[in-house]
Amino acid sequence: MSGFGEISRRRFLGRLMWALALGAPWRAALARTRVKTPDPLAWKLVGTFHNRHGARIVGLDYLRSAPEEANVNRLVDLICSFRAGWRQELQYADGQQLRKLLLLQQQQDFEHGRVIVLHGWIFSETEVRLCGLTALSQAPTLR
Amino acid sequence: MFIDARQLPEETSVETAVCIIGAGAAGITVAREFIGRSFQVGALDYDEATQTLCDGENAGRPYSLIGSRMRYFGGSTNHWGGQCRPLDEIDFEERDWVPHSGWPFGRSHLDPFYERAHSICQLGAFVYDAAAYEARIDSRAAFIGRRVVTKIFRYTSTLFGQVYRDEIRRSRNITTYLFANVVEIETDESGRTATRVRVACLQGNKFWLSAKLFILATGGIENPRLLLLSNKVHRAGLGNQYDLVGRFFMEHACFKSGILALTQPTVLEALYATNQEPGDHHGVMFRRCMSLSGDTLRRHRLANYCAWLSHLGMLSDGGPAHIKGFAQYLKELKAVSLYRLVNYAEQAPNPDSRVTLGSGVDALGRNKVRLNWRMTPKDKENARRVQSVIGQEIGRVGLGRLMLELSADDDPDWSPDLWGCYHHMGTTHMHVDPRKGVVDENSRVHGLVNLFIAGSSVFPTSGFANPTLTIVALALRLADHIKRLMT
Repeated sequence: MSGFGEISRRRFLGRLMWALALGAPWRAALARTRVKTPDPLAWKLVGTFHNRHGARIVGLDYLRSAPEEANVNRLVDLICSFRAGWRQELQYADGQQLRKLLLLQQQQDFEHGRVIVLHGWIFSETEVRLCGLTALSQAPTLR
Repeated sequence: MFIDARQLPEETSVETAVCIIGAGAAGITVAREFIGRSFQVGALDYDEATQTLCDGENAGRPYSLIGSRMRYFGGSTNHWGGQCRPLDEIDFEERDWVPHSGWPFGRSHLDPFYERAHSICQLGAFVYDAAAYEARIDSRAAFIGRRVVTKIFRYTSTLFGQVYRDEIRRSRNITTYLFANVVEIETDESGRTATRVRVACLQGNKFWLSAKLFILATGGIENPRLLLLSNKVHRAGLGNQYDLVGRFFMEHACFKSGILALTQPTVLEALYATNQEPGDHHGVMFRRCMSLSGDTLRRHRLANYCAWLSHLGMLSDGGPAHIKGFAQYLKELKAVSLYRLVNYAEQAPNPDSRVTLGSGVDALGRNKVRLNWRMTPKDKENARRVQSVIGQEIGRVGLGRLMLELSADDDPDWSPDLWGCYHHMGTTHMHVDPRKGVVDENSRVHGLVNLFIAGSSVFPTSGFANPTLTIVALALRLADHIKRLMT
């Protein structure tokens, strides 16, 4: 059993390693991830990645540049602010639909210049926030 | 007829109606337009033996003054790649984000001349509509027509000095003096009328050529040099009353920078690989390039630009060290191949990028040229912003991601790998206002009634297109103007 609210020993040690590696500001940021009532949508969003290792690297880089977003619920809120009713659309979508919706959101980001440059790479805001969520969690992949 | 100027007696005085100085693409085009006319034409050209006279001093970015020019009949078309396309409509516009931009006329005014130039350059039909080339690759159309567009270059193997040599040699009203180096343009005492040119041969003899009209067509570096050297009456040189001669030297900035990680490499590689493709339906080699639409350039306030793709390798092989951190994520996106952008960018006119006279002298006793080609941080910022738009469009259509390699700082030496394409432009640029340009809208040097300039030195801006087609179009336009003046 694991999740944003309950953290297994293995996950806790993993996060501890990150925290030590990232320094004091990050310890505070990661502490915020251990919220008692994490947004359940975070699970679904993170699960859209097949291979979360690469996403975590991007996510960590992003959260380093935007520490004010290093919070699960904050990231989910930002992703859902895409347009009115978007949260509901994401919540009720199945895995395949969810990927399509997020792809659409990323396309719109690129269309409207909502991009983030990390080490030169041009990413959409949505995708780096999804990566950021992945960095803050270890949810199982959606099937 | 051709005359070996070395055989002319010392201090001979030759008279003609129109004197053309230089026989490259511009000079030859103008001369051909005068064949069979009622007036006599004297054309002055160098020969290979005088190539060393191209040498000079370099004060700016690395540049070969000898290697970038050919000093014999045909000029630089003797060793060109033949890559042609007209300037875009936006290139002629005054853009407040590109200082000193704006031509006295628009693209539509030049179109009839472009069509004639196309025939002279032997480029087939005047077709640059990418859609005509995309019909057989409809699956790639998703990428085309939004912010990023496909533009076309066409190719010719026409060497002006070979193709048009006999035609000019046979003409009865054109006399071409070979091995003839113009060292000075003389004016009357008022300095308003050019009267004759001083011509010198490396072997020692000198002579004069008088004319009613003079057309200077010696290229973007020699044109300003000759104006600056002609300083007996105007101490600053001809047309230089506002210190503009030689300024605004522009090149097409070429550099390899920016990495694309592509999910469907065959799509973009087929479109934008660096190789030419044989035989479109006009039988002319062509090549596509990736560029931005005019609307996008205006909306984002960008200078013009195009790019090709150079294959770097497969993502599974790792690629350059600096992408390794994100390679796993790129694989998650299903990217498979890596490409580097080969960029071809418009340089914004820069008054500090200039040709002046150096301190050393050449074999004819004239000051050598001193080139100070300078790019600015703004040019770099432009390139980075253009690539950013391309990166957004690549992401939008799901073809992958783009990595910017140009840093966001304002380092004026922004890319050590940047090189020029040997396109010398802007040094006697055109503007109706003599305080803003060296020549007027008819290519006449401001302040002189009978001295005209042909060639890319009159370009106010450069776009990204190779200059020869525009040089020929402008030469045709100038020739028409001269014909009207001579009747």
